[in-house]
Amino acid sequence: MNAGTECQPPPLGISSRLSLRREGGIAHFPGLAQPRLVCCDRLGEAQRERLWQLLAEAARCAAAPMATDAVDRRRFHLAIEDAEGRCQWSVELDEQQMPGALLRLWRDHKPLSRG
Amino acid sequence: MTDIQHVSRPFVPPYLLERIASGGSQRLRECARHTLLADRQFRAREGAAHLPQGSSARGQVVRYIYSAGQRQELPGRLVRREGDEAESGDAAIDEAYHGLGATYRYFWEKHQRHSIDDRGMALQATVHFGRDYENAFWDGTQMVFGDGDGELFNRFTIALDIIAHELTHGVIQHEADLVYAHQAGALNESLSDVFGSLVKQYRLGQRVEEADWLIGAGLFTERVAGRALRSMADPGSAYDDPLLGRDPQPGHMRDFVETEDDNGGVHINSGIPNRAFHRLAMALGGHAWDVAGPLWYATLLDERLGRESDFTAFAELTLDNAGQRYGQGSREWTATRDAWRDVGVAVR
Repeated sequence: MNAGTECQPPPLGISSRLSLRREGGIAHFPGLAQPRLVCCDRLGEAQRERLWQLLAEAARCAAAPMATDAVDRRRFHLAIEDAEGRCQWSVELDEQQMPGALLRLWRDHKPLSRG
Repeated sequence: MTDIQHVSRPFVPPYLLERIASGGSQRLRECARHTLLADRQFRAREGAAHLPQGSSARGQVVRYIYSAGQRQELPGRLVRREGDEAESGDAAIDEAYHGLGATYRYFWEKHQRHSIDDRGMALQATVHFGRDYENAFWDGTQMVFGDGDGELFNRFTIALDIIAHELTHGVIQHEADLVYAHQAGALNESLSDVFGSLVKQYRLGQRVEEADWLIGAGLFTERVAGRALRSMADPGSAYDDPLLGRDPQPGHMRDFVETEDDNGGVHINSGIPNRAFHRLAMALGGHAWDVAGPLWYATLLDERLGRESDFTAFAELTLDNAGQRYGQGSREWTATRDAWRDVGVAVR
């Protein structure tokens, strides 16, 4: 409930996982609503740092209020999970607030079943 | 997904914030109050956004179509306005222009409603929004349509009922202003589907047995295993596709989906009131806009319909309105009662 405040993501370790989930839109498609997972053990240190910067940018964007009269808009839920699958940090933002690089990351990752 | 330790900005519906602001711990109340304040300031800015001049003559529509040129900017560049009779040659522009016209005409001719706010508000739409953007939405002031990605979705102006669906969200915002979450949100979605379908049937001059009762037919490309976004006649049967998944809509309260996804299932559980409307229309026969449509419209405008109404509250009001119009025990009243009972919504 910290609207208007920024909450930086925790550092991304090798066992961290990023979950990107898109919600909303004119219909609910279960296949498209599944979270898409980015496993940090497949990223180099520089890539993890770049990803962290994008998440910090998303957190800043999310601090702006959402348009509450809008309907059928889509929004993204981003979460960092630790090795045990516990959520360490999460943020939710309008599609239009989503940094373009994260949007591309979502598009490039097909839905994965959670292990 | 457990043990959330840090939450930067979860989406919390305003009605819930108002509840928290008036109760809960001091810290929660303070947080909710600040959020509501920021939200209202944002809404005020949104509302102050300049809309072009509307229509002062009841019965006359005023339309403005903009193009975002594949960017995500609103409203974009004005490309067709009221009185521009020549087709632009751009399918999305012309479909939006005529779709808004058909929707205005339905609301005016069947319900004597003069645009979204009944005061002649300009109908503003933006097409070509974003690149490969596969969605349409109402932003609180205007309608927005993407071109689709061409792989799963065609352009969103291709379906008249989708244009009418989005415009109806504006009508709802100016009337009952149903909270966009859980059952009230599902009613919001269902009403938009109902009037979306009515606009299409009215435009095509269809009797109830001739209508397809589909929402968004034509939106999917041929690669998708599906007919449309939703089926009002048979919720849950619209698509079953490897990528999109299977249509999750229930058509009866026994299959009601409890979920926090999709704003509490607004696009999922709307299948139940959608099917109730379809059952009523089919029981009465003829044109759905003659009896069933006006009943639903009267209920939308009914001052007793609260922002957080659930299915039962809405159903009871439709029954009460049917009683006032046609008499308790009349064919119309009985058909309304039976339609709700058929989908498992308890009415007296």
